[in-house]
Amino acid sequence: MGGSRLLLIRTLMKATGSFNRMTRETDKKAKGRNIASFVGILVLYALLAVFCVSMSVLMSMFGNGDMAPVLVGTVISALGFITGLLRSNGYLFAARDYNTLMSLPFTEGTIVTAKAVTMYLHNIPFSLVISFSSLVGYSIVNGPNAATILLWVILSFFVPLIPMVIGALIGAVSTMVSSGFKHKSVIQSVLIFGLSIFFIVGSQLISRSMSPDMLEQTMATMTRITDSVGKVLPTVGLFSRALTEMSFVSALILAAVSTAVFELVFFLISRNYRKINTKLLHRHKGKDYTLTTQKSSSVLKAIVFKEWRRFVGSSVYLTNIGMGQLLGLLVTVLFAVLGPDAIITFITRGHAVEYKYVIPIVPAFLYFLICMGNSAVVSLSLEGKSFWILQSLPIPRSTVYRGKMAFNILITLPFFYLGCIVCGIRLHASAPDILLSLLVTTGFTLFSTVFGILLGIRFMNLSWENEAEVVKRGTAMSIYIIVHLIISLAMCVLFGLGGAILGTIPTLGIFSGLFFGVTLLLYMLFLRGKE
Amino acid sequence: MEVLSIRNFSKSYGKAEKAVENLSLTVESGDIFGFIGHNGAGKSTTIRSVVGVQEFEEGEILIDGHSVKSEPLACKNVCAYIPDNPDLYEHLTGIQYLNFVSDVFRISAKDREERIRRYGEEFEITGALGDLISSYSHGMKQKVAVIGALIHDPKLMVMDEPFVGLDPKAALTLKNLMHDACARGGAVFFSTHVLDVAEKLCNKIAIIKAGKIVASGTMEALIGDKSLEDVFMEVAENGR
Repeated sequence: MGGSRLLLIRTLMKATGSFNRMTRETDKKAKGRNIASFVGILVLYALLAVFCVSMSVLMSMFGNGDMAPVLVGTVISALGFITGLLRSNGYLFAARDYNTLMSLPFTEGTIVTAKAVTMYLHNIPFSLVISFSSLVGYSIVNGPNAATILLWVILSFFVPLIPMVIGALIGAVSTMVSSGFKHKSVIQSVLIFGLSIFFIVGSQLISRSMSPDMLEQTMATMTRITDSVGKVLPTVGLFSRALTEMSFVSALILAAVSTAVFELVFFLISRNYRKINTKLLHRHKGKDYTLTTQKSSSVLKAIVFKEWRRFVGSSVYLTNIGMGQLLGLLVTVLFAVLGPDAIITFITRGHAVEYKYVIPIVPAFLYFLICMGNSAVVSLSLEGKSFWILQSLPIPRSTVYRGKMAFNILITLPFFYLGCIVCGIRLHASAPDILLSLLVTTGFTLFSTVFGILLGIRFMNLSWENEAEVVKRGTAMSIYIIVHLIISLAMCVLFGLGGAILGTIPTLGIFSGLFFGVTLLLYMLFLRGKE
Repeated sequence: MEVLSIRNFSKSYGKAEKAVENLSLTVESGDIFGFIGHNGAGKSTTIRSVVGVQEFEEGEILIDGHSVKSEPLACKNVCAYIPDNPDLYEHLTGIQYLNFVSDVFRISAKDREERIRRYGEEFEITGALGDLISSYSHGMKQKVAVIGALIHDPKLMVMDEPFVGLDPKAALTLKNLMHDACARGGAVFFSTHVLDVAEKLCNKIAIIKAGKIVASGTMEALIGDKSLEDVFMEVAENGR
């Protein structure tokens, strides 16, 4: 690795990481906030580690220890792919430091690879926590030899590389295609969504076409699951083989191929780096504007409109926050087109489930998808250097927050309602069932919105280098995602159990009350500290 | 000796009208060259292409004899750029940023220390160099950006509205430093809207309107016994 690249990586890590902010901040209040954020992330990592150790121990105790590397490989590969797909644009294109870096004597290759390595380094800790804590759980029960442990540790750094590169390539291609258009952010987001769905569905189809009755066979033996995952995700296959069969050849191939693919793809991206940025940074001139009759609107409406323009004006914001809504919509459309049986069979891998047990789970499943992103968590931080505009307005700050909450509700609730109605009809749910589904999802939306804005206020970060720092790596978003995953998992289980034991209506009724109650408490907390 | 030579440079965005058309100018060693024009006239497009931040298709730009297109690193090694609104790394301290730039240009520890001390004192910012850039005012950021530009003793300084945000003393310091750089054989190419400053500071000037140079030359030849403001209004408004 060249000296220039190392120098740039070091500087970018300092400029975008939290260490410098904690050690160099002179404002005591800001320093305290930075340290609190860092500790918060550490606590989340610790919780994640405990979960992974437990899962790994349980898996090994039930005799499926060999599945641990496959599971770890799959999870960190998926994380790598998502990172590359959703974050690479924020790091690589139209970044705030573009002018500075391009005017310095760095090659475009140096800048692109340094930024890619920085993105990798920022995201690898999360994957390593999952991998290393799973290794601990695996080691407690299976007692692997030192070589296995060493290979596991080393290869954990390589497994997410190729998926991340593929994700980044999809992101770069989308950016390149869309960069010449006026509404580049929207086109870019649509392309990213489209290409990633194509990629995911494509890999599923390959997986399923390997043999007609493979589904049954894979359910029967764990070895075959390993094989099937290995075929769809070759890097996971190599990772698993290296650890379970002590195959040093597999380990070497994984390390070499990952590094080579990383270098090659980012070299190719760097060839178009300046061209893409030139187009992205150019603002299209509209036709000569003629002043016509203007309309006035309420303050809240004005803030919501401003937020909407911000949302569709940034592909990083749109793709990251809109991904949940898109997945919710996708599931709804699949329910409508393919029917519930196909979806249920797909999820349960061939098992039929009575509709009455599925009906109460639908809102919880939609919650998991739709509320994956939350504009209320990030919209304050995304104001960045423009925050002074809102601060200088003659309105209470709580009005600004309310506007941001209203926006999140507006982009969330319609997807819930559509999903509940379509899925409810296709599952032959009764009218009260559907109405209660609408009620409970309203509760979900309000809860996640108020919880989101509280996190957004508490962990507001206005000085960022790229939007991905806020939208994906921000403390507020990290905490939100972990809490969201825990609640989603708990809701799916509780709604399923409640539906089976108590029935759909009591279950949805109880949880509607619960969510409205918790939301009310959070809103009171918001009102107490709103200024 | 030509430090910057722009020949028949044109730049368009997509199929739209050309942002800059067939622009040619030369900046020689010792020149302080002012580039003036209305908002949207094509100043920043030209400057961004000169410093290699932006692609261009037509024409040729040479810095110290090197082509911006084919030898970008050789050009950047002898050039410094200060954008109109420098976005510095907010989470670096001022000194960390200056060390970063010094490392990029391989300035020895002794030389960088001497230069940072000198420029830091001239701009009265030494005491704040240990603070995070995020805590700086716009003017302080501008000062750090200027020091970063001067630290490697460039042959060509390219600046987009360099006086915006600087206090009067810092503006005077910058003007003196521009003269010093030129006295050492360097050259300065900068855009500005402050015509008084341009008139007093520059020995050469070019006025750009709708992407085309409408007047250029030495200050004396261009303005004669009028003021630059009069000439600019005449040329820019009436297209002379």
